[in-house]
Amino acid sequence: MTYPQPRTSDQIAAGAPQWRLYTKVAGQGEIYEIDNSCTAMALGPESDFGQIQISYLDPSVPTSNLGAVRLTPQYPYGGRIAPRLDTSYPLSPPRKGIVLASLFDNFNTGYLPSGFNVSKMQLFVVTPILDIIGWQQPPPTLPQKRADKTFEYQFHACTVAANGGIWYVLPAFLRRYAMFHLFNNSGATIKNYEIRGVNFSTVSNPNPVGPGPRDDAESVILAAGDIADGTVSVVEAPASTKGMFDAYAIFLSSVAGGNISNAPLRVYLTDDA
Amino acid sequence: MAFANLTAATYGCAATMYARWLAGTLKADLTAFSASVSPLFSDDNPNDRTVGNWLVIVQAITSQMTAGITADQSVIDSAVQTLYRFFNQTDSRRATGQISLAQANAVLAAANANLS
Repeated sequence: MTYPQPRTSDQIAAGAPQWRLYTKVAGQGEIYEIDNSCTAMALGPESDFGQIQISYLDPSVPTSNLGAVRLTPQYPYGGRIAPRLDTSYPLSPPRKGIVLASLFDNFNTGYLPSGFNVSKMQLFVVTPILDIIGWQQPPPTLPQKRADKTFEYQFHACTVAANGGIWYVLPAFLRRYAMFHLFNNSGATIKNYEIRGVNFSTVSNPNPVGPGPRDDAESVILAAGDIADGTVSVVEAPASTKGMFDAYAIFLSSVAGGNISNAPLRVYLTDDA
Repeated sequence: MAFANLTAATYGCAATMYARWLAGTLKADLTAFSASVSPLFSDDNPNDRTVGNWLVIVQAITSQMTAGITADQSVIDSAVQTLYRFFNQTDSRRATGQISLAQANAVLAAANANLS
């Protein structure tokens, strides 16, 4: 997000039939303003996040005057939500009745895989995207899933060191199924190929300075092993048997370190079970 | 134990808030915390609102609590999650310059006075 945040009302003023809040998310504490009304709201197709909290001024809610809706892929919201710029939330000093969007998923911008060795490992983190759409008129249908997402990397910029490698960290919030496909056509063995599912910690510092245990919960999807040249590894991770994660962390390395070329790694994520 | 910084508050507030809930003081503590930090973030300043907007949610959750330890645990969990994000956002917006060091330090002081 860039600040000041772009106003959603500018999109409507420009003639769009809906507004869209689309941004890369810088941290788990981000909170966004929506200054336009809508008759329906849903996660957009590019959203990596699976749970977004929408908070709005609703004088009919006793005491707090705060209405809340949690958007998920399976539950778009069909109903009017509008900012109330004519009135204020009951705070001292008062705050205008703008609509607010915040993350409900756990997210850690500073995540490092356990065992991360800065002298041997690169870190490639995909910054997750927040995508919310609000329609001014009732849409024909409301989407009930995010777009399936595919990440593909054919060139791996591994650290030059013995068994030097690279970690990929990919957002997976509430995805129900993941498939990992690695075809080693690089001409050499890929070492220590490993996949972990990660649930980010909110209750203890997951990134202590210096070496030491880290507290983000990591589950082994594929234990570290070698992939011979000319062979393929396909790993499936349905949530029903492997668990549901905030992210996947994938590691691969080469014998002598240095780049690995022509070894396509494809990761496919979907909301379908 | 006092939070050494906002990172410690971010990840440590769950333990201290549950302790205060068990002691029966969490509603009063959160009310005092909110009252202390709310004037720090002007609603007319877009940069201040990047942090101050969280106080709308803090206030709403606090208002739903009952005093003592009879509150619905889901309300306590919501409060913990909200403060976790509030402290994180305060820390990160200070780092990127949307809010000042003085504002961040005042939030830390209020956290130590009411929630540590």
